[in-house]
Amino acid sequence: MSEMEINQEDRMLDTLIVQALEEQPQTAIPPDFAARIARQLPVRRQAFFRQRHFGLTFSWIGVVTLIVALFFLAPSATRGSSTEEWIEFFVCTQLLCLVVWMALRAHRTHKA
Amino acid sequence: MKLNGKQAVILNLPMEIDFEDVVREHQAMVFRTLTRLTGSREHVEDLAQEVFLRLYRALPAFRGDSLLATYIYRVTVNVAQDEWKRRRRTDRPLVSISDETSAWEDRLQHPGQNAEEQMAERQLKAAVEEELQKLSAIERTVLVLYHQEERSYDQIAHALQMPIGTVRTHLHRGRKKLHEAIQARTGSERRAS
Repeated sequence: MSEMEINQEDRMLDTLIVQALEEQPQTAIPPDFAARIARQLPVRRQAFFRQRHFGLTFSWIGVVTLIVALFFLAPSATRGSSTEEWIEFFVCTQLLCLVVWMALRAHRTHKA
Repeated sequence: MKLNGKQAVILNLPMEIDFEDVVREHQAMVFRTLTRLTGSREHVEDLAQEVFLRLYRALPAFRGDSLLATYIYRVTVNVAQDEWKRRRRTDRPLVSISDETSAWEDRLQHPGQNAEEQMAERQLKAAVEEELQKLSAIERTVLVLYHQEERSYDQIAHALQMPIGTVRTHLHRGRKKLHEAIQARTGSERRAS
């Protein structure tokens, strides 16, 4: 048998093998298969999350602490000590920042 | 059972879809693939059931970075692999799907062929089925997914979690082994006749 004939036979066999592989086997699927599967599914419980607002709680604690600090710092600041004035100014800024953050957060929550 | 919104979104499905519909849509593909991969029609229904139950359990872990069909192929291949392991443990011989009933080869005859040609074709198909079961698990899986299920290299690589180059290698090697085995068989048959 010539080389060409052998090659041709090889190619023919390859084609036949691929054809056999491409043919899909017939399967017998019970008509109620999908329904049966659906009945067997375990009931998935939804995860329950209790939302906690640690940030907000700590903000409130911070606000109260800063107000108390301001209350104690006020008499010395009025006495004209520049260091205490600066501390009072710093505490005021912190309080303002906290109040603004809490207000924005409340606004976002309300919108959502 | 209805899928919840998050499950439906990750599967790229409409929100109000039933898992039953997902099963109905993919059951033929799962049955076909399992039949070819396990080489037997026996237990296919149980295995298909296992595929869908595993799919349902795995849904929360499915990131949606591949098609649902590709993901189902991955689950199907895993189930088939477990079945091969189980068979190896129980030492049950593989039975060719062409042996069990006079099933699909008979129904796929070409009307124009004469009896001898039909017989030869049927024999070749049976031989392909038998030799397919003798290949390594991975070569068989790649051949089935590529030829029978017409999946792309990329989808097969996704389903089997291996590089595309490896998929190509297994496909080439599988085809070569199959070719050689069939050639050896037809050669010995010719010599015998």
